[in-house]
Formats: sequence, structure tokens, C-alpha cells
Amino acid sequence: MPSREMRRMQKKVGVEKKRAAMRKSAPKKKGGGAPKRKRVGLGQFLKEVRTEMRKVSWPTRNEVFSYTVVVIVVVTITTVFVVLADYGFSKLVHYFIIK
Amino acid sequence: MLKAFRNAFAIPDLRRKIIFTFVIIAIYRLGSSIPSPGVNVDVLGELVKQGGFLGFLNIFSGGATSNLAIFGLGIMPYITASIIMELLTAVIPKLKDWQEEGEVGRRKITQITRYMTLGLAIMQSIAFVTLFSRPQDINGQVQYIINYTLIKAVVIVLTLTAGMALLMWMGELITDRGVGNGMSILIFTAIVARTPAEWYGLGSNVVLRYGYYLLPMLVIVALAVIVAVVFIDQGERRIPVQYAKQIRGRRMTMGGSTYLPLKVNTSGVIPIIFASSVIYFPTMIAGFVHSLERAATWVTHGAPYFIIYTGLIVFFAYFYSAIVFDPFTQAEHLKKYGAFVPGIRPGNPTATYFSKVMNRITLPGSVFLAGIALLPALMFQFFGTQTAPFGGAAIMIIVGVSLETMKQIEAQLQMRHYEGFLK
Repeated sequence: MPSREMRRMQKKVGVEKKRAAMRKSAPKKKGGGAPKRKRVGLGQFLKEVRTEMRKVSWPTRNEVFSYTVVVIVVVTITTVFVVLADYGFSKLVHYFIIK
Repeated sequence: MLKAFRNAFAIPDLRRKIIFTFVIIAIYRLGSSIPSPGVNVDVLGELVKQGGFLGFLNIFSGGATSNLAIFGLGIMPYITASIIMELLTAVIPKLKDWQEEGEVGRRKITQITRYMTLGLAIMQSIAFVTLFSRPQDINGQVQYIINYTLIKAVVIVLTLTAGMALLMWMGELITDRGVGNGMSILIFTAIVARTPAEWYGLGSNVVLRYGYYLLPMLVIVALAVIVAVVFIDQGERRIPVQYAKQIRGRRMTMGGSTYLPLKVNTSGVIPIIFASSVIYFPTMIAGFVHSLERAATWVTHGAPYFIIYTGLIVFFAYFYSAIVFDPFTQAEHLKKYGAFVPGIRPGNPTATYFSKVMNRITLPGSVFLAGIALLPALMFQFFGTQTAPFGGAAIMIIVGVSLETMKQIEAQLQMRHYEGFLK
């Protein structure tokens, strides 16, 4: 099966290339623009932040509501469970170990 | 909503998974109640209540540090180890290769993470024991560890480390056979276990200072924070992606359009956790080296604290989202499937575009994160209370984990044609 070996070699080369490219296109810190491009100034950067934020899709009012309710219900159930368990276990521990 | 809960229990398979998860949670709580041998429980609780670094750890272990319980280390060492591994994976080529190898390679990485967790657990428990070994009373009357000897120290270190290892296994059991991600569920449980006590502390303080009429305000603030976190958590920048129509052999795939979601808050709570551990470093060191105490108090109070903390969070948000989201791999992936972003050439330009968008939307996301993280400190300023030292991150974790877990249950429900929780 020579093909397997070849594939493995190809993969290695691919990984190598990818890494080289990644080094080139590594994301810059904020304030730095895209790689190999002119650095954008702070004002320009903030302007671009604003335009990108306009394109962000936010959840609808309904989604936010139902997610919030789900979170509250889940937290309430677990809190009750954990608090009861803690209370019971601490009584047990005091009874058996600490006295 | 309620019907969805009933449905979740109507499916035997899902019911078994949920019950399994709760059983593990119960065992976790049991282990957090049993103190290590030779510990003076009453005195230790008082020390931890004073807050600071120990208080911070106490929250993540669900109150288990306060009695040096057998699960007293909590799940923190595992999280630290996974974060370190993730960083190393980005740096060391060998690890990167393993990760890309698939199942076998990833298992190797998991194995290393486990060993590293044990190492960290040993280190941390040794630190605990040395910290608690000294009688803190001036007369040497109050002993945290009764009749401290070296053998006793070794026993406690072994107990804590073994507890940590067991906890790690329990977390993995939840991931495999329960619902949700085990580690997240365990942190979630730990935070939830502390919540009633914290709220009681905050509430009673507010009542004491301002009277009862401010209590509803407090609830409203908490609700608003939850809603805000949910809102930001769901916000995503959808980059349109077009699939080309292609013929491969006799198969023809239809073109189509979809989108690539980039979350505003890609890195979740990780930046907060990172920043908090970093900012507590001076305090932790000052616990051993007293000459550093002034630097420690300077860093953790007032304006410098706010500025440094915010800076750290923004920094780590960028840092971590760069690790989690690799624009080049994404671009390559799209190219492989004959997809492209309209108006941008495939390959490198696409990667450039992704990283550009990512850098732009991470800024507001991280500033929001910083705001949430600073909330307890602000509350401290307004209401003058010591509790809720980690409230913001706690809320982030709670919201994130419950949504993630419910989405998983939802997927299972929908697989069986039931209506889910989230519409």
C-alpha cells in the first residue's frame, strides 16, 4: 500500500504549509489590522468595530425571554437539589465523623 | 415549557442520563462535606470566610475549601491543566499534530492533561497544607490542623489529590453517560451551591444599611444581568458562505448558501477566569512574602484594580479567541468543500477577512465581559458588602452552562420529535 504512505507524506507537507501560512496570517493585536496590510489607526479601527457590530445578528426579544426563563428554571432546580443534598450530607457528616 | 420538562423525562434514555447526572452531583456534594483527616473544621471555616484568595477558591469548589474537604481542590486544577494544554497545543508542533490526528491523538492529549492535573493538584494541596499548618493565633492556640506532623501533612495531601482524581473521573463520566459537559456541570454545581449563602449575605447587608425597599432593586439588577448575559451570549456575526454546485464523479452536490457564525463572545468566561487568577497572584505571593503586601493591596483595590483587571480581560479575550478560532483552518475548510465568502477569494484572503472580523467584534464582547466581571466590585462600592466576590463570572458560567446543557437535551428531544424548551 504505497498510497497510504504517500498520503501521510502529503498530509505532513500540508500541515507544514498550513503552519507557515498561519505564522504569516497570525491575528494581530487590536489596533493592528489584517496581516500584510497597513496598520489601521485607532479611530479607523473603532469605526470598523461599529460597522461590524451593526452586522451582528442579535437574538429576538422572544428568544431572550425564553432562554432567560430556561436558565432561571434550571438554576432553581439545581440550587434546590444541591442545597438539600448539602444540608443532608453535613448533618450526616456531623453525626458520624465530628459528633 | 413545562411540557418540555415532562417530555425529557418521558424518554427512558434521556431520563436515565439526567438522573445519572444528578447522582454524580450528589456524590460530588457528599465528597465536599467530608473533611480531610485531622482538620479543625470550625476554625478553618472562619479563616476562609475572610475572603481574598481562599474565598475565591472556595467559590470554585462550592464551599469545599472551607473545611478542606476531600474534594477541597474542586475542579480548578483540571481547568488550569486544560487551559495550559490548550496554550501548549498552539505553541508546540508535536501536540498540534496529535490534535489533528483525530481520536487517538486527542486521547493522548487528554491523558497528558490528566497527569498535569494530578501534578497541579499535588502542588496546590501542598500549598494548602503549609498555609494551614501554622497556628494562626498569636499564642499558638488555634490550630487548623490538629497536632500537625509531617505524616499528617502527607495524608492530607494524598487525600486531596486522590479526591481531585476521583472528581476528574466523575466529570468524565457525566460527559460520557450523562447530559452536558462534565467539567462545566461540576463548576456549575459548585457555584450554585454557594449562591444561596452569598445572596443571603448580600441581602442582609443591604437590608441592614438601606432597609427592605432596596431588595427588589437587587433582584431587578440580578435579572438584568442574566438577560444581558443571555443576550450577548447569543449574539453572533453571520458571515455569508456560498457553496458552489459541483459534480464529483457521478454525484452532484447542489450549491447553496449558509453562514458561518462568529460569536461576539467567542471565549466565554475563560478571560475572566484567567484575569482573576493573574490578578490574585500578588496576593497569593504576599501570603508567603510579607514585603509584597503593599503591592498586593494596591493591585486589588480601587482604580488600579479596575484598570488592570479590564486590561487583562480584554487581552485574554483576544488571546483566547485567537486560539479557539483559527481563521486559516476555517478558510482552508471552506475551500476544501468548494465554499466561499461572496466577494472574497478563497484561501488566504478569506482567512485574513475572518481574522479581521473576529478582531473587530471581540473588542465590544471583551469590554462587556470586563463590565460583567467588575459588577461585584461595583456592588461592593455601592452596597458595602464583602460577599459575591466573583459574582459576574459566576453568572456568566451559570448562564453559559445551563444554556449549553439545555441545548443538548433539546437536540435529543427533537431527535425523537418532541417539542423542545427553546423556541
